[in-house]
Amino acid sequence: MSEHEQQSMEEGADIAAPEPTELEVAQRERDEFKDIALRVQADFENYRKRAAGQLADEVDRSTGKIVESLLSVLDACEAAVAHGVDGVEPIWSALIGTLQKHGLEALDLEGKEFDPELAEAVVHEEGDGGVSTVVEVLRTGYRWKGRVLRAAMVKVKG
Amino acid sequence: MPKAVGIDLGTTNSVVAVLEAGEPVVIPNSEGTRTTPSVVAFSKAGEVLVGEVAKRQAITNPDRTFRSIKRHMGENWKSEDIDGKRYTPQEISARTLMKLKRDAEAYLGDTVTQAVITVPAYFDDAQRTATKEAGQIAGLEVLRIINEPTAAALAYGLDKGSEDETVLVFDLGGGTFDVSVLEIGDGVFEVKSTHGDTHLGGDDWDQRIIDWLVQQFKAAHGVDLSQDRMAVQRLKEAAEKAKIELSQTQQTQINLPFITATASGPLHLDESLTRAKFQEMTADLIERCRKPFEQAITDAGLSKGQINHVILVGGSTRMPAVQDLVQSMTGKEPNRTVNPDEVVAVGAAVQAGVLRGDVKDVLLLDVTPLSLGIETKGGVMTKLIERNTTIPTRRTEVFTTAEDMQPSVEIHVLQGEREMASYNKTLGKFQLVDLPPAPRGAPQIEVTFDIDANGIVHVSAKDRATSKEQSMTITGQSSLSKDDINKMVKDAESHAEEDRKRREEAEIRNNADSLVYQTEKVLREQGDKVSEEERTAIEGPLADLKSVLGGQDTEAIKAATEKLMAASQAFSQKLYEAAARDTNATGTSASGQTPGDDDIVDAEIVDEK
Repeated sequence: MSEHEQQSMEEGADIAAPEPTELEVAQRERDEFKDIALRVQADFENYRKRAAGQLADEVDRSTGKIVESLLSVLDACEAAVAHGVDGVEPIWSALIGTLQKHGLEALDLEGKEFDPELAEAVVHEEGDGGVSTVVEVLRTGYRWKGRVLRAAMVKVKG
Repeated sequence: MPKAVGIDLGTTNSVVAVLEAGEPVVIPNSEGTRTTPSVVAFSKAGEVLVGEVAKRQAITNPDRTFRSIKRHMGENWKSEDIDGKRYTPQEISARTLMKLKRDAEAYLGDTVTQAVITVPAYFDDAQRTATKEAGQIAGLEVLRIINEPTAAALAYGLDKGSEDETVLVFDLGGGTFDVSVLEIGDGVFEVKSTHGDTHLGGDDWDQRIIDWLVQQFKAAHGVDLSQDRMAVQRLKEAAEKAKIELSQTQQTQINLPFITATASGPLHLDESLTRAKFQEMTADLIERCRKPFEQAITDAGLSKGQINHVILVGGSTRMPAVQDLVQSMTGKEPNRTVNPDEVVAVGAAVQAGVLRGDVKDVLLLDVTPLSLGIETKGGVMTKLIERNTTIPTRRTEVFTTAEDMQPSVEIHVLQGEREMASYNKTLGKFQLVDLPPAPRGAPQIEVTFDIDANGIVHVSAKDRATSKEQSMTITGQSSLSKDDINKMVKDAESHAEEDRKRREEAEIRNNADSLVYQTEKVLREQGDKVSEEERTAIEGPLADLKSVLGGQDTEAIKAATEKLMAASQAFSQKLYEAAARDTNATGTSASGQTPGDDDIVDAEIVDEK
């Protein structure tokens, strides 16, 4: 009997690492494919949600590009007025007025705490160790539809 | 499901990309740009700033702002004391990686846990280990560190070739220059040689333009703009813009009004720069590229004829002078279909996908090589599935009959791009029979095309009234060879004009035919409501159109159709007037209840015949 038992145990050992049956192979494949299907479905769902949100964003971004290229004109107008050139002001206000209606916003930073989200420091003056403050705006920054289109160039103290 | 991304952790800029449905996508950061400056700052308020924001505050906070930290990777370097802590290069790099991870997560709407990060081919063990640590500090499991040139080759799928190939990667970034020679065989990449200049990049080209502008301005106005921080900033922007424009055009205008002011008033800078002049003043920079280039080829033990592929990496390789140099030195047209700023990150994303097992053959979806459709009235092919539609796919459209009491419809399944059925390939035909007697246009026959993932097409037609259905399965459509498919597509392109005309002719004929049908119907049903004279006014043009319809003259059909249309409108007018008289007589308002409404046949989707 012990001999017999041994033999059956040996058989058992053989069976412990069997060739997977057709059913097992099919089940494993099924699980793999189910996993792929789920991933693809999830990818697609996420893509769909994102695409919907991004479409609006994309529109703002592409109009923003055109507006950004017009900023050099606004800069020139602003500088001309600052230098006392006559006749520029009405053109400037007409242009900026139109752009404002569509979502352009000039940043008013002078005297406020320096925020690198809104402005780039190009000149720096040591201060008394307190908060850094914008002491002069060298070039106006703008927001377009709530997003910073061009950071201002500023002089910072502190 | 968490994602794995590919990250190009650059000296000046970093890029992150991900594989989505098998396609690499570069992820824009929270500011909306596709590259993020590798700049990290610790603000006085204790905030960590990364990217553009860190750059903007750099001069107010120079001791706590770190640029080009990649140059210190693997060194024993530590930052000065920052709020009680001294940072290692990997800790600082980790901040850049954290931002990329965060922005990728926001974009994907999912967590990002794993990444493949690229390093220059010349990075030693310590530098690679430090890069891996940076990833871990950022909370990323670094699946693998791969060489930048290898990533670029992966982005172009060069690992899939059947033979051993030699690839030269020319990488001119913002501040560093590398040339590497790779050998690829059986999907294994070996870097044969790499050379470069760690302080040569696009910024040097910009600086030449700035210097030139300063010089020009000084000569003209006697003012040194390089002393004016604000002016220098504007010059920098303008120089970069001019450089980019000169890659497209032969000449550019640099216009900076009110660049500065003197006692006598404001001064403007207005210069034009030609590509030739620009190339002349940067010729020595191109020369500096040449040496490492030659060295890399020699070290790899190659002659230039032995290079199979050339890949351009880095935004500066968009400059024509650089491309000319590469082409003349390799004798090969460089690959540049993938954006050179993004190609390394794209390759890293591909590698991440492979390592995660996302890139499985079963996921590679196929497309239909040619359009599929059915023949409709007048011998026209109506497409249900356009070519290049990703399969599996399914599409249903409703058709109707062309004749009164039509007992059956024939579904003639076609494949091809030509407008007319006879020029396309017939895949099969079947009949849907026993339609109940009905006037033309009334039956609704649903035709469905269903293509499974293996390209097997199943076509069915169902009469909505009786639910009777007939179908067939076509398996042979993939038997067309690539050449056949190309030929069919080309054929359609070259015959496009002629086909359009024939289709138009068929449409004119179809329109005429339905007009005759409708007019006859109206005359039959409403004819007694108008005078004999009014009847004659429409019967004449009707007979004319019917007679030309028998012939081949499309123009005549068109003209006769228009005449009958006009007569028919006048006729309807009379009918309305007659109806209005009736309505008024009974005292009800004519609230949109137009008599004759029933007679307007819906736009006919043509039939199977």
